[in-house]
Amino acid sequence: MTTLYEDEALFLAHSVALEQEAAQRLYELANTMDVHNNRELQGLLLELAAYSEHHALAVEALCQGRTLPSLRAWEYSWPQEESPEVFHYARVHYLMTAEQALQVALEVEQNARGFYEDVARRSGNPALAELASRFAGEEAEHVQALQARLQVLQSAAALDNTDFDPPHMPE
Amino acid sequence: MLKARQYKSGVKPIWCPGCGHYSVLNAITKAFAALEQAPENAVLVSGIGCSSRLPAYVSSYGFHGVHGRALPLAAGLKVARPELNVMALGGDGDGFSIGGNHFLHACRRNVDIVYVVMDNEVYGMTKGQASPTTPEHWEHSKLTPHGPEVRPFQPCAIALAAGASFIARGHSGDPNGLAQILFEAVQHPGFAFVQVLSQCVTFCPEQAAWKERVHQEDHCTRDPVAAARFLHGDDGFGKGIFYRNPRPVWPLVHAAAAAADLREGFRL
Repeated sequence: MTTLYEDEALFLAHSVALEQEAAQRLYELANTMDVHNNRELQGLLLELAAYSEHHALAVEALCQGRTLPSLRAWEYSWPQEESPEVFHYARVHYLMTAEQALQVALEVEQNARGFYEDVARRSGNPALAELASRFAGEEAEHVQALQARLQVLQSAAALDNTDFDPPHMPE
Repeated sequence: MLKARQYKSGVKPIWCPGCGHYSVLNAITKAFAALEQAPENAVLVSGIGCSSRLPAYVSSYGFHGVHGRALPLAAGLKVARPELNVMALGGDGDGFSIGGNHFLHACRRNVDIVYVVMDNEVYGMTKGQASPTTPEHWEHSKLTPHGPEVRPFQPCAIALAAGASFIARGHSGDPNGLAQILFEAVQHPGFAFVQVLSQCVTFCPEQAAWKERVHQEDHCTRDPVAAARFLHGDDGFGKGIFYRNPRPVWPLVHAAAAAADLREGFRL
């Protein structure tokens, strides 16, 4: 029985699913925030979802001309129950902030990087290992971008001295 | 062949962010994709409650029914239109309290439908009151400040005692595993009951920790005695298919008999 560590088509099928599911989960949460009138978070999530979708399209383009195996949802060999780049539903909440959303996005990007690094390390197929290593590098770039963005947000929050409940100070 | 996401209707769910029901929605669409289900031949029937909104979010036929009455609606539809894939859906309050008696008789009758109960142990839509499956000492509701002080309903054990021929439990933290259970449930000839542990992060935030408690149980049997022994010792967090024992599906005589035959049968 072939595994995703040896079979390039099987590995690519996993990569396509990983990226598509990441984008879908983010779009789903963005829609939820829209329904709950949290426009700020909706905007951020749509932006993150668009990045994921862009990456999914890039992986799909790479698969052009290849026949990928058609897998049922439970036939993927993920390290956990779901693909590494989706957040667990219980990780989000209607009171979540942009900082928390970025933190969750960062965690799943790190999971995806770890998944690809693991494939690159364990694969005995040089072409597949190189591909996995390349994908791991791309995920590492996403991790860095999110870390930078999170840092900017945290710095801005530290500087923000807006008082939404100012003391009553009559003249 | 449709992809899972193509089974979604495009209507944005109004569930809270973090609600487990999103996962159940995804599992249903994944199961439909695996079954190559024609949308026009699938019907989702629900009662009332947060989870009962689900049919609106799937691109198939749907019926958002009366509180606790998803099962008689679904059974009636299946008997009248046996060629359809009929799935009843709802929550623990809808299914085990308001519709509790229907649950018992649906198990007993063994009509060929799937019944998915999204169990979050609380009435979420009405702001967090204790339901039949709420733990005895859950003190988060002002209506039950000391907890319900009643032993929780045991859905799988009761389904077995009432005669269900397929009994399983899934978890919203594992939509792919749940999709596989639903895939099997749809293909089971007879009444297939699937309890889904589906967290309510708003009124029961402690349920986020279910992910650590849930464990796989490879205990599928067709022996009701073995199943009963297992289910009575179960901690409520095992997932998997526990019991599968096909038996004659109701109605035993095909319901679509000619009208003339029916008239003859009822002649005084």
